[in-house]
Amino acid sequence: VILLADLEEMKYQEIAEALDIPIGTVMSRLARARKQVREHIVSTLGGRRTVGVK
Amino acid sequence: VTNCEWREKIGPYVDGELEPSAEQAVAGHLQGCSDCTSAVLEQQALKKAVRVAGKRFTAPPELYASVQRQMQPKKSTGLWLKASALATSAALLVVIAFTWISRPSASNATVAQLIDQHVTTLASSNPVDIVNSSHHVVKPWFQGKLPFTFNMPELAGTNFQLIGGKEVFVNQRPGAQLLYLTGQHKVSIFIFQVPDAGTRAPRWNHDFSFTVNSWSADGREYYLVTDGNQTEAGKLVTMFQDANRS
Repeated sequence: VILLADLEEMKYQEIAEALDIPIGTVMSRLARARKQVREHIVSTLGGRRTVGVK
Repeated sequence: VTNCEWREKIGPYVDGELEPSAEQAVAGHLQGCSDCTSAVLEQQALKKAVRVAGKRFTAPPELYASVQRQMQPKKSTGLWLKASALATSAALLVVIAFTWISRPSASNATVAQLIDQHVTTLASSNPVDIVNSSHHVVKPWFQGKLPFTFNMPELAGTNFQLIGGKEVFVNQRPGAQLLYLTGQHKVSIFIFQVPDAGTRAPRWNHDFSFTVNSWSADGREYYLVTDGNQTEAGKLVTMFQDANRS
């Protein structure tokens, strides 16, 4: 979902139709994916960089 | 974690998924909420990192095939799809992390953009958005527009006059541009927030036909751009350093 949104620049509605899932699910999966990417970056970089996560 | 009630709107706002009225409401809220402004900036940076990493990394053909299959009305999902998706995600994360690490902090590309910005300002009939010769007026004008603050030097008894300031965006980051006059020359000072900038002493950059200096301190990067001479510009650098010494 994050790839379809950020790389393919598809709208939420288009993603919902392509994957045959409700738009609410697109939004919650997107939020979860972004949270995971952010956490991964933070843990990968350790204390070396702050990514502005509060 | 900030519990601003607007936080859940940040994702759809950055994705351009809000109705015009809701978008305006969020934009209005951002004027006064630095936490949400930071969240928007972070989200934009993350989105960009995913896009950049996604373009660099080519997914294996079998993943494309699997996704294609999944997009058919009759899905045939399975462990294989999950495994390859997981592998792709893992590889992508490494690339994203690398992209993030290797972001240039003071590259000549940035300097070139700032010079363009300075020249645009000189050519404009409205060079700045806040026109005032007092830093007591110009500095507060940036409040709510930028997710950081800075100090401006006292100019009494110097050859510099403050013309004003404006908000600029460079590399998807908001920053302050302050415009000064010394003799016949205009000088731009650009300030950006870069949390990991560290402390770097002022350095002249001779790669361009303009007089350019940059330094960093306390999570902020400063750039000076002018067509004036280095000696005079150096005085303004020192004045800014003194004003922002903590």
